[in-house]
Parts: sequence; C-alpha cells; structure tokens
Amino acid sequence: MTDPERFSRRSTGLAAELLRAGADDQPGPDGMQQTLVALGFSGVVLSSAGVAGAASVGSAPLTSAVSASAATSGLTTVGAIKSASATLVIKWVGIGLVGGVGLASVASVAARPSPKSSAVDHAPPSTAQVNRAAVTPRRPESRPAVADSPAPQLVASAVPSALHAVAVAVESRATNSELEVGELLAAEVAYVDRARALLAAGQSSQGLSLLAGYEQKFRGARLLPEVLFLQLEAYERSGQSNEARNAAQRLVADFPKSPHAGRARKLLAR
Amino acid sequence: MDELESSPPASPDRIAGLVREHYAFVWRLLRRLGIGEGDADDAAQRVFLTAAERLGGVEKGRERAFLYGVALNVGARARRSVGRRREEPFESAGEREAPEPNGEQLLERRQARALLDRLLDEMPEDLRVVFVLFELEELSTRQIAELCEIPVGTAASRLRRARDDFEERVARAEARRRSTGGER
Repeated sequence: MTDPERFSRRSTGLAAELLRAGADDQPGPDGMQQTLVALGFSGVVLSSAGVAGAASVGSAPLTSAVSASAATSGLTTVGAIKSASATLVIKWVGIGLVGGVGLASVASVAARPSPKSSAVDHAPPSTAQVNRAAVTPRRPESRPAVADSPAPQLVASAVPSALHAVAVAVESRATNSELEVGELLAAEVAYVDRARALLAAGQSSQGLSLLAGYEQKFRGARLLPEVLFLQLEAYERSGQSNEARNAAQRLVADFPKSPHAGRARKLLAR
Repeated sequence: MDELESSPPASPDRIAGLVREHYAFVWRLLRRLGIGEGDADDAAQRVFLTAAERLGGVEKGRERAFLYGVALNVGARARRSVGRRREEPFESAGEREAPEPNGEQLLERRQARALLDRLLDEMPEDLRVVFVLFELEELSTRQIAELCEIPVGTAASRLRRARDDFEERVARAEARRRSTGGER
C-alpha cells in the first residue's frame, strides 16, 4: 500500500504551511529536564558546553550552571511515584534543585579562577555517563539538618573540575548554614556524584567511605536508594558479598519499588 | 495491562533514554491532540512517569507504541479535567522559543500553529489521531495501524477521510481569511 503525499511536502498552500508550522513545534528544554528530575535523574539535557560557560563566567545563566552538577546524576525511584501529588512535590523539589545548584555554582564560580577545561567539559554525555540520583518521594517535605562531620578526603583527579567546584561550594554551604530544600538536594546530589566518580575511577575505598557517611551527613537522605545501589555494586565488584547482600536487603526492604530493587532481589536470590 | 503492572522495573538507563528519545514526540503529540502549550510539559511529564512504572514489561523496540498509548490516555484525561486553554496567537510569544529567524516569522509560525490547532480541534477524534500521526509525525499507514491497533485498511480509510476533512476546513479558513482581509 502506497501512502499519499503528505500535505506538508507540497510547495504551496495553507495546508502545507500550517502543517510545516506544526511539525516544527518543539518543546522547550525545561520540560524534558524537569521530567528527568521528576524521574530522579538530575538532568543532562543541556550541552556540556554550558558547563564550561558556567564555570568561567560568573553571570552565566542558571540553567547552564545546573548542568554542571546535574551532568553526573541519575537513577530513579519511579516505582514510588504513584500519585499526582507525589509528582508535583518531586517536580517542586526538582525546581528547587535547579535554582539551588544554579545559585550555588554561580556564586562559587564567581569567586574562583576559571577551572581548566577537561575532556569531560567538552564531551557530550553518553548514555553510559548518565549517572543517577534518586529523589525519594517518601520524605520530600522533610528539611533535614545537615551534620557537620567532614567528608572523607576527595581525590581531585576523580572528579571533573567544574563539577568539583560546584560540589565543594554547595557542600561547604550545606555544612555551614540553613539551606533551602532544593539547595540541600543539590548538595546531596553533588556528594553522591563525588562518591560515584571515585568508584568509577577505581578508588573504591574512598568512594565507599563517602557513601558510608552519607546518611550521617544528610539526615533526610533522599538519595538513599541510589546510595544503597552504589554500595551494592561497589561491594559486589570488590568481592565483599556480605556487605553487598546487606545493601541489597536494605534496598529491597526500604525501597521495594525502586528500579534498583530488581537487581537487589536478583542478588539476594543467588 | 496487568502483565505490565506486575512487570519488573526498567533500568534507569532505559528510562532516561526513553525520555530523551521520545520527549519531543510525546510533547508534540499532546499539543496536536489538544493540550495547550501551558499544560503540555506537565502532561508529557505525566506520560513518562506513568510509562516509567510499566516500561519493564514493554518489549524493546515497542517503546514508541507504548508511549503513544499512554499519551493518548493522559491527553484525554487532561482534556477532560482541565479543558483546553486555547492560546491566542500573541499569547506568550517568544517566551519559550528562542528568537530564531526573526520576530515576524516566529509570529507567523505561532499564528499558523494556533490555526492548525483550531482546525484539528474541530476534527472527529479518530480522524484527528490518524491525521496527526501521518502528517505531523510522518508515520506510515502501516505504522499508524500498528500504533492504534487497527487494521491497515481502516487506518488508510481514516486517513483518507481525515485528509479530505482537513482540506475542507483549510479551504473554509482560507476563504474566511480572504473575506476578513488576511486575518486568520
């Protein structure tokens, strides 16, 4: 069966004009980004060129700055996102994240010399690089206090410079002042991203050490499902099967609808 | 559907990939199926939140069809509950779109879209869906049949009627425009 020629392919006529206009209609970047945030991914819609821009220009747009910290987060608690109200709360938290990280990074960047560009600054994020940050809808309204315990030493080489700048700025504020929920979430994302970067760089003990301190540092622990999953993976990789099982058990028990619970169940079934 | 609901959760990468690959398709589909611009992002988000819960049970390669089904449901619900906030051509012009070629062209495009939406709104729903998928999303009749779960012959006949219907409406709109001196 041959399809007819589409109206939009005609060179003239109102129908062609209308349909071409309709086909050109594109969503703005915010919608996709907010959807990713609502799903527990913290973004990566904007090009990474925006990261470099945000890192070197103090007055860079907030949305560009967001991608600096968002560029390495991800993961989701989709299973827990059931109701419209949960969706709205999470969306709100996501918007808070955008604003919080943006402000923090712009402020920190303005006070710092421009970080040198790294390969990560220029490479577009691949699917494999889409790191994850879970937003746990169980406690979205909580405004947890932040403990003052210092984070384990970060090995600078493990984290891209722009991300590192944002993480340090946000975290130092997190430990020193009252933060808005969005800012706090941004700090959590930055913290977990540091751990992830360390693990990815093969520095398991430092990464695991950060993860172990997460709950103490952020009492709201909204990224706990992701932290447990990272622990599970890291322990598995390093052959510490008991610890991996413990993390899996907790993940399944506390977050049974998390997308990671499936993997945890598999591990427990072995 | 029960099978989908009890399916294992999809991997985060797959969910993120789904959003990145199909967000524009879903958003545009919702827009052309009657969701106002101000509501389209929320509706698209609802589509993906719903889809993410069930994606684990969806065969690889069938994501688009699956999303389409979810989008139709979400779109219908949104239209029922909120009603369409019809946008005037000048409403919030330039708020979302980057200043592309020039302001005049942008405005013309917005006006064209507003008219397109008005014409689509007037079409019977079954024709409208097939028409949008063929003319705007450029799916083939076969793909549309698959997506809508109807025989190819039915899809082809709906498309034929939809195109006739649309052409008539466009002709009327054009005549009206001429009679009012260029107003759309």
